[in-house]
Amino acid sequence: MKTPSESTVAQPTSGATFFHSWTNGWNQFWFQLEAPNALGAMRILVGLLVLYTHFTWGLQFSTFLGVDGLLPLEYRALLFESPFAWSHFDWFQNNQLLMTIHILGLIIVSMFTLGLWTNWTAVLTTLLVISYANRATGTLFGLDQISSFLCMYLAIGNCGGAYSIDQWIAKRRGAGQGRSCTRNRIAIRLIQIHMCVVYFFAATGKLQGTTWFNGEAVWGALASYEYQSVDMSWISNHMWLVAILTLGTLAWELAYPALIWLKLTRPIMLLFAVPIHLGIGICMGMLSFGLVMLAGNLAFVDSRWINKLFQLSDESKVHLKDGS
Amino acid sequence: MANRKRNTKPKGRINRPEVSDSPKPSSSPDTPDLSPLQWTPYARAIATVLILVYLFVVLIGPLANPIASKYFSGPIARQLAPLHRILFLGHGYRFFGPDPGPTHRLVFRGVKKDGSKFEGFFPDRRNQNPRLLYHRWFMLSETLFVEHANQANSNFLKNRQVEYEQQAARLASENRTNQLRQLKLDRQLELRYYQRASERTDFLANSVARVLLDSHQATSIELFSQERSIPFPEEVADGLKLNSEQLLLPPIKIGELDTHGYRAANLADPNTLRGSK
Repeated sequence: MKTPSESTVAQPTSGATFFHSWTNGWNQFWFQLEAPNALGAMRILVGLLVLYTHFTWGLQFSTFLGVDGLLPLEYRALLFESPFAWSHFDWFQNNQLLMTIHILGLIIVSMFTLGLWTNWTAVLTTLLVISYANRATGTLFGLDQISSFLCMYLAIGNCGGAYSIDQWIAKRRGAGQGRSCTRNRIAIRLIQIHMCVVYFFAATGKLQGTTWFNGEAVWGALASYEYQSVDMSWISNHMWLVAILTLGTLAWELAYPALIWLKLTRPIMLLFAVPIHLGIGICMGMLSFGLVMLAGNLAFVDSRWINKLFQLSDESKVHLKDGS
Repeated sequence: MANRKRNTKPKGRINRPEVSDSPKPSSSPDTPDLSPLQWTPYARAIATVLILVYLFVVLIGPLANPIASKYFSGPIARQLAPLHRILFLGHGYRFFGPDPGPTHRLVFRGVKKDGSKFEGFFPDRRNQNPRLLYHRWFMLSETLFVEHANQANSNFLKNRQVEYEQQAARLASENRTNQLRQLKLDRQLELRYYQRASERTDFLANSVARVLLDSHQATSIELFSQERSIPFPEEVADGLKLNSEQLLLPPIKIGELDTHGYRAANLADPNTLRGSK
């Protein structure tokens, strides 16, 4: 118990002190220098996923996105009623030209993934992802929503500052490793906050349902034939497990926006993210979605860990070369 | 303390500190990062405003989608819609919420040029690979279902018109002009909503039918949306397969395409076509 005099001493001395502590906190949060390692690792993973997405579009390009394809331009126009839902598909009405742009896009995304001219290819990849997403309305899902904002934030940061060809070239010229900078910090913070927004609304959306409370929601997802990619029907004999998975997922999503910020609980939240997203990905045929969510979670992984991981892989290569 | 001292440095354009090659500790509020600030206070102030505005734009998306407040998030989201469209933001992020529901496939039946009949459906996991491509077809069949369900049938529209006329007559007799004006505006919006839903479905279904017609070298094709219900765990434990025909509900006709063009099914009576007697 504090005495009244002690309480008086513990009070903030002035409004100015309070303001300074806030601005210092804000500056620390947003404007400290940040290494490019996490962004570099995310660039590789997101780049591979965007490359896969674009490659897949290419398999039935004219069927889906061609001038006379499944998705008419009029449909989008009526849905959005906005000239701002831009897409390069609106500007070119020729399938061959669109296919040429598609191939150019694949090259750009490959360069982005490898980290070549990353400042430019990151911006171009973001524009490509948004352009395709705005065009392919009606066939989209979470993958497109998450990958578009991740690309945008990677373009804000210097995602080519680590694990990239740009960096390799810079090293050969004696420029050393990618510099820590403020825009890396801003990019990481935007990814972190956007991931929290995603989990918050994913969780609160589930709170409106009944099956997330009675413990049957995961059954509803696993028993859906159209989603199913691994036969999980054996779980019908173990509904207690379904209930644990359902309530566990709900609790994890609800807690994520708060507990991911605490040093003590962050590893736990990240640890659970892996089986949850990989589980959804493998069992429900949405591995690309699961991986893009995990890519977003990399923003919360310490750069030093990521660096160690990449150094380990380098060391293992050396060991292999040595025959050890 | 050290931090406050750094912030009082003389203002330059940009202070470029020496930066070590080793990665800095990652962004976490609990581990104070004591590296020097690179940006001037002026640059940080501008960035702060931009960050706050941007985060507001991000947050309004899921606050207004799929459910919006008529008095707050809805009107703001309409104003921010251009930004949401340009940056492809504004999504609801309600993955598998509020409840995982039944799925829908698109069934098509047609007649080929040689007179033979054919039937198929999508998504079709046997013929649509890799999985991401299958998922695109799956999302398309779900979109067609949702758009078709968003339409209003003629009986519903007639009933709504009767309700509207009664309400309008009452307000006019009571001389409540403001409410009457609002009622008329709401009615216009409602009619426009259903009209747009109908147009969207027709455009999309027409395109899908045309692509299927061409790929099967057919002369006519009919489209149906078919729901697959989720089985009870007890049924599956007793041996029911997830792809069992028992789980499929009767298909609902969306429309048909032949040499006369595309015609949508009558929503009140799917066995007839819209505009037909």
